[in-house]
Amino acid sequence: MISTSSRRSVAPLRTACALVTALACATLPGTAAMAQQSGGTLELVGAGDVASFDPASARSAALFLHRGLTRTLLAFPTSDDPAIAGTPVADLAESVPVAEEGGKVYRFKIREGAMWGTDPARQITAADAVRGFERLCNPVRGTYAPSYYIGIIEGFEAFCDGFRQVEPTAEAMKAYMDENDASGLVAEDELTLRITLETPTPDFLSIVALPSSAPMAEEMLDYLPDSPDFRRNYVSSGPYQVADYVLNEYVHLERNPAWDPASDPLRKGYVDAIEVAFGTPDAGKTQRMIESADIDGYFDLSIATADLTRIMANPDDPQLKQFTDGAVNPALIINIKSPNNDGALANPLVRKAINYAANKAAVVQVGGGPNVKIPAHQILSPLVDGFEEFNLYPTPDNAGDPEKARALLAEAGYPQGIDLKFSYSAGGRYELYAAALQADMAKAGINLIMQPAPSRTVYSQMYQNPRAVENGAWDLGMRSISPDWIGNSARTMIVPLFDGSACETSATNWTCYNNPEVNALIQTALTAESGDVAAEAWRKADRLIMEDAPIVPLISGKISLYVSERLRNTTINLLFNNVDPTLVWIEE
Amino acid sequence: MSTQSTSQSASLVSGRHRVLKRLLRDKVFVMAASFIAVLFLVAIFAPLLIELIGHGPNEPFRETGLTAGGVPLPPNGEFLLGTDVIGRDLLSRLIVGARVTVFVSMTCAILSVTIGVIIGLIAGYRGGIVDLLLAGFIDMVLGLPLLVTAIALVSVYGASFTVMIGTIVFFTWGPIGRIVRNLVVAAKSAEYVQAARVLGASDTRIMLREILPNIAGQVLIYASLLIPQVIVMEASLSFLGLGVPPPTATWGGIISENQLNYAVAWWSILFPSFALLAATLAFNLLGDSLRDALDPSAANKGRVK
Repeated sequence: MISTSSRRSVAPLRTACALVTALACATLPGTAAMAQQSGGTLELVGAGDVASFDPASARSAALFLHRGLTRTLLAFPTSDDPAIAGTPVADLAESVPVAEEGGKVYRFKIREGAMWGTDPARQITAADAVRGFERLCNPVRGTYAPSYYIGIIEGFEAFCDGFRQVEPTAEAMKAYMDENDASGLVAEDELTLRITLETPTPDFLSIVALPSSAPMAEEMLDYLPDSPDFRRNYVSSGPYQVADYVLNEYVHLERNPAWDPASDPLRKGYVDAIEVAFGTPDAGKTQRMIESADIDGYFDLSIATADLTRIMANPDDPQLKQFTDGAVNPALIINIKSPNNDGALANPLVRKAINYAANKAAVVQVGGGPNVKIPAHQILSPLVDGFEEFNLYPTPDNAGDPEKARALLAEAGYPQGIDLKFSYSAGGRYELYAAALQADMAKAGINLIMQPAPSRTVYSQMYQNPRAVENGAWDLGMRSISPDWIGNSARTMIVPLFDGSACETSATNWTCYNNPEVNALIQTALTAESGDVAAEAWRKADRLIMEDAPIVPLISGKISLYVSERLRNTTINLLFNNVDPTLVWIEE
Repeated sequence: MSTQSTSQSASLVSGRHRVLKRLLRDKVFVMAASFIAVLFLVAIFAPLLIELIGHGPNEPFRETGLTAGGVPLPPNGEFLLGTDVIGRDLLSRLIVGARVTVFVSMTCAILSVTIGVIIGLIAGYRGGIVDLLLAGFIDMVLGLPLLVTAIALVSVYGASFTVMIGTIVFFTWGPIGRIVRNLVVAAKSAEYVQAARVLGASDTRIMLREILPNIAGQVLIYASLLIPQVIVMEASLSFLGLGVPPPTATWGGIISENQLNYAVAWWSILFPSFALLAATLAFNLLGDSLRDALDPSAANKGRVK
């Protein structure tokens, strides 16, 4: 493992490597050394429309669209090498800034010639960049991760506190943003943005590379965040713009005439158009459409387990794209607040028993087998700084140890076993995973009462509902713990679920897990002056949390996608786990 | 008096005999009834059959019933109908599914008919405001969407046998109630009812001893036609995850669990779908045959000559 000091010393080298790789990718596509062709339409099919299109709140598949639509000050490059893919490089900014004033100040100089797709085209400015940050805490639909910005950017907390009180109309929000500023966000001149932080934040440049805080054209303030009008009238800064968007049906991107390739080191924009059709939740059907060359790839799904064995019979198939995303998916979340079984889940012995009882090998098998999935034993994954492999609850062949689990339950005062209400998203793989776990848990005396429900219901009525948590409407939940980026992203896996410092108001630490030692380690890591110190704190926190056992990590591993035969340069971008729409080209 | 009752019972016996003869001559009835009889036997002796097979319905066979890559196995010597998505024996699960189908359909049919008959009798016999209120209530029930109501109930109370049976009964007693009500309204003015009233019979006696036996045949026909409807409702709710919670096997649930595998594991969709189709068809045909036998005039009306 590379130490963080060596990481820092090689950072500029990495940046250069990333640029070289991007250029190399452009000239020598992975699949064949042939000249790139411009033109054609990249066609994808997805299960459903994106939950949120607005960059401020966009996640997962929406980030694929924003790769083509939205430029950020810094960005994560597209590379097969995780070390390169996890190191932010300059996008709209001329270069990756060096921290000033003890790690508290960053200056971003925006490239001249980077234009908004307005009519006439207009230079993207530092004021647009400030607007991108300020929108993050709008009262209609703000960022999913306020902790990345609030308490980090100077004055942002006060700005956001005021913003939350504003009437949720476009006019009122625009007026508030015109009249108020966060002291840490200053447009020093037309093209220079100065960001001042409250404390040094070792992963701040990675946070800036997320599309959430992308500069935003002032025209967009005329629309409510993420509203249908916002989606249809989105002012683009990337090589593509929205040509047509019918909610829940399709989105059609066309070339943005204002985009100047000379101003963009990351994107090439080979294809003329990108079309995504929503409404095909059947991955098997999508797979057959790709194989019959009707479409080019998946949008928000991946190859179904049923198809995987057949496709993996030829592991050299150039159309098969397999990559590790760094997520623990799924993990069981234990409701430590549940009053069921006389509050048994508050007892670490019972939680450890659940960890021992889980047959992770069974979950691996229904997830596609050991070629694509591996058992997970901790929160952090190998793609995240601070990862150090350990397994506090080992079982033979990872198939669970019912005897050990029974012994722990007996020691905790439950020799007859316990009944646990298991709430999970119905349909898709989680249903399989839940079914695979059930029989082995029963062998250990843990009787799972299965409560499948539509995903939205499970989240809104169970996991995120404080009353459901406290009343014991569920004892076990199932979710993914996924890094928002790879590299120095441990905060994205640990803070949302396990930072207990303000857990009463947290929307993500559902069961109010609160260990002062873990909180202290989190604080150390978030404000460390070096990545090394942060990684060490995350490493300790990972182990400490697993000693408390508020979760049961189950599996992690590869995502498998399939692309059409005609698609070239299909390197996966690990931010949005799909091909890079601005780098692929179509061979006709 | 005794001569009259003897001749009455003799004519009843000969009437039943005629119906039975007519039914036994109907090949469709015999086939449908045979299938249903087998279905009931499977449902009743499910635990015994599963013991004979030796594979528990909820027991995953990870080594012999699933490939290392998690793909189910087709029908073979060990698993006669193949395995499902997590390596369970499909045959054992279908047998448990049959038990659930029979239990739910019979329970729902009995409850729906009982409620429908009671309410229909009262509404039809009493008339006036009672009839108006009950008719309005039946209309309201018939106007509610099944799935939306089911989703709402499951969201509040969670999926269970009770919620599912309650939902199905709530949506199926209305039509029976309305039919019974209309039959009672027609029967109310019949001479035998007038005669009973003149003889001083109480309302309850007239409803239960005079009207009910006279409309029982038609109620039976509607009840038999209600069963396939209930089977489809149960399968639909289970398919959508609104029925019996897993791991209990239901035919709709098995189809739902395996739907993503249809391209590589045809057996896991084909067999439960066939079971569902056969059961629905058998009850429908049984109902048709019963109607033909009990009410030949109504049956002939519908036939093309």
